[in-house]
Amino acid sequence: MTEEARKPLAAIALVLAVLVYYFVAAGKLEPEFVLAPAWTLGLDGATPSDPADPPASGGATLGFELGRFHGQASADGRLLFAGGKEFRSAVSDGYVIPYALDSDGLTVLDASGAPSYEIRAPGAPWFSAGRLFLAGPEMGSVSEYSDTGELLWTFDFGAPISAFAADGGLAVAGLVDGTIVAIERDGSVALRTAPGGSRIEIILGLAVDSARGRIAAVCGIDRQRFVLLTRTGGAYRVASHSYLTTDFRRPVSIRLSADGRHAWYEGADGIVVRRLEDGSESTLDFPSRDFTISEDPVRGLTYLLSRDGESATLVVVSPPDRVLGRYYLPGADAFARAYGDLVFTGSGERLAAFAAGED
Amino acid sequence: MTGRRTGITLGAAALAVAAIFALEWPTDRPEAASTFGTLSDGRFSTGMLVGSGDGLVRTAAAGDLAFVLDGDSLAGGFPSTLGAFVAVAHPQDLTTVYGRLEPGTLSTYLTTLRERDILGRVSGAGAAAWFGVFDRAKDAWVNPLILLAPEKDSISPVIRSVLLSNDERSYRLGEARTVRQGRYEVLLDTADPAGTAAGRAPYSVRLLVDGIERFACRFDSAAAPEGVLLFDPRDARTGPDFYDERGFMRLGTLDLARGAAYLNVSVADFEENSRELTYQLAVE
Repeated sequence: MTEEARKPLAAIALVLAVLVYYFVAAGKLEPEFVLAPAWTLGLDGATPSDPADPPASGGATLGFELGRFHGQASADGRLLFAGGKEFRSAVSDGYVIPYALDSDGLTVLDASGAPSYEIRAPGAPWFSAGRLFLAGPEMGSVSEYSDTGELLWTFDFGAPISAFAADGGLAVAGLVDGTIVAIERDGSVALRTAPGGSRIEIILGLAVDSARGRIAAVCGIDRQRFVLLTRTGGAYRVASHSYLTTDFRRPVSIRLSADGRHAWYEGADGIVVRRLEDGSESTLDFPSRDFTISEDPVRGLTYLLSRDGESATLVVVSPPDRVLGRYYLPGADAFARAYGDLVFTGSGERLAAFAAGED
Repeated sequence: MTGRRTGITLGAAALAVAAIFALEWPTDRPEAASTFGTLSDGRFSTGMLVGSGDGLVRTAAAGDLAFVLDGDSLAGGFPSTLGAFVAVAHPQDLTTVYGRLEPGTLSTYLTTLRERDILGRVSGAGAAAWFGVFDRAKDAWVNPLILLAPEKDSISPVIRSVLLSNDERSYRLGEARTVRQGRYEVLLDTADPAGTAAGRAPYSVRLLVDGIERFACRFDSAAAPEGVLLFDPRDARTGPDFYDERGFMRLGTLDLARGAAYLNVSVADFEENSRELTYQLAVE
């Protein structure tokens, strides 16, 4: 066969090969993760809704602290209250506490911005898991108050607090002398221990999961350690630990996932995701100094907010380390957290909610 | 260990530490604006406030940088009531803490610190840094004046008033010479003026009634072994309620029976300048 006669045959063979590849070899494409806007709300000049007109979502409120504003919005996108921040604020879903560090009393505002109750004590308020704590003077004590302003307990830790975490069952303080103290809801001591193992003892970061009896810490200098304490037989013991390559001498972010499978903490090169079952780790290459996680247990997604100076990145992760999407959020105090099937965000001077889905 | 033994142990420990370890003043002004034990935010302070002429705050001794909070909250958002602060770990199980610093000015690149290395700046003109000394071995705060070079202080503390008070009435001793028999709380309003500072706590306080010691404490150290901070572990009166809402020291209660009573109150500062007043009362 001549060279000229071979050319049409080669072309036909090439077309057949492409067709075979297209129909036989091509794999199924994964659906693409998307966050579809549900609503947005500008805070500058926005008018709060009439408090007498309840939100359609059954009264659920979302607290926010963003730029020069703090306040509450409903899950269906209505502004319930927006106040101007003069100094600082502590915010929960339902309450806002404006305060200055030198004030000797606090007025707690409800979701409409009206005074709800007062606390006559010096200190700085902080909400976690729906609980109200007051950091006492000189970082040496913590008090908890009820949602009517009643003092529940006060505990003097004896040394300055360098890390603090709380969930529905425990409040846990880490101290500059390397001690961890866990306080029960009634103010009694559940745990007082010093993990040790380093030349300089200090607690740099803490996370707590009281339902599973777990406390995780990044602690110590020379060498630094990740330590997982678990409650067995009524007492907390070190269940696992590993030495780290880091040499942090400042607060370190650490979180435990709601499903109990992972710990997330600041590493040398990004955010480390540690599988608690076997201690294996992977690293997400995002700024790790200041991050939060929020979870959607129905979809099995983790919303990771990684802050970096004047902006933040919302990273949607299928745990442990599969990144489904990333979204830029301008503003030093941008936030994002899951709320049901929505992702509630604040950035710049705008609140927004997004519905997670697939395209 | 009993409370008395614990108290003696802590006091002895503070003095032992002083004997083997000395600190430099953390600023260029070797003068405490407020002292260990001074009423601050409704309770006694476990550190002292120190002004700075040049605005700089320096390490009081060589050590390791242990913790830097260059902001106003810890990881997770828990607020700092010391503001931006630094902790330096020293040999002899001591940690010094420097608070109320200006965020953004804190030094973080040196992890091994020499004495007088700069840690940061105080927050604002005329502001004072908070300085505390923690004994890691004893889990106790130590009065920094024990470890610092002596202040130039020749002014004695003042006793502004001594009150006998119960639910019905209050007698100001010196003005009242006759009181009804019954149970009274003894309240002391005192301060230790020094330099430009007017509201410092004295170093020691003592109350004698008819020659018998009814209250005595020295602001040497403070510890919270049971979750309540006391500067004298043997005496529950020296806890968070030591000061009343007016800033008066609560020295305990007395049962005064009919007859004569002699109350002697003495206060002294760390430089051993002292003040002593005696009151004679007729109890009806």
